[in-house]
Amino acid sequence: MANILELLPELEGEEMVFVQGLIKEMTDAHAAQFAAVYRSRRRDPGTVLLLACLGFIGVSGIQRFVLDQIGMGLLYFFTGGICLIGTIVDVVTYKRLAFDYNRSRAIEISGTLRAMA
Amino acid sequence: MPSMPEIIGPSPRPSAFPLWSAFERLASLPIEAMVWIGSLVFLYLVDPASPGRPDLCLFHRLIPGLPCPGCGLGAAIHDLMHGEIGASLRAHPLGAPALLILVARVHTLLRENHEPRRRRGRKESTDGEHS
Repeated sequence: MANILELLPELEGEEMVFVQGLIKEMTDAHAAQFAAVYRSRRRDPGTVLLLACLGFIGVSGIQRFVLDQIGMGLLYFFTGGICLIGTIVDVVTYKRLAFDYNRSRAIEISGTLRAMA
Repeated sequence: MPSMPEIIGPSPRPSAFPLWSAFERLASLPIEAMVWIGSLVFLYLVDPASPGRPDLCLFHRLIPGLPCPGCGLGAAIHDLMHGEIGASLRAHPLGAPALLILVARVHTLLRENHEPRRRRGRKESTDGEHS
């Protein structure tokens, strides 16, 4: 029984609940390994918000590149964040953007660990 | 607690009011998907390049005369959705890729919106098999 507050104390809200559900059934060693890999791969929502805010000074779409959305990143970059609409959307929904990315990384990592075990 | 479901309310009523459940599904979409779908519907209905329409580009409003690489994309997407490929290319040559990227993003968002529910269901069923 692994405890999320000891392994990954920086997680909040939805992400914490989701990752707790993933590591609940892991052994302690497994959960520690998962935490180390997950911490190095996840994107901090605060970083996503900061990069989205760059759109207000003319550099748009960096947050989309960071979240592996190359197409959306290019579209944002060359249209000024789709005429600022996209930038505002991302500033409002940055937590959801980061969580969607982090959730797929968490599923990926737990799948790899299970395959190796 | 036998009265619990009554307190929570009749949330699982799939076919009693089809219109209402469709509305509920629409309201559960992520904000991002709503914005993209909304703006594509808007672009279908309204041609941003038609005369008399105010300039949608906020950069032009801030600094008039600024060369903007994205200007004309809205008109190009509008023309494309109405099947006028020549006009679309004239408005902006990258209208088709832009529309494709947006549609792909909406598709990803909708898939992610449905996946967690499906996975939770699968997980419960495997738990049942193990116990």
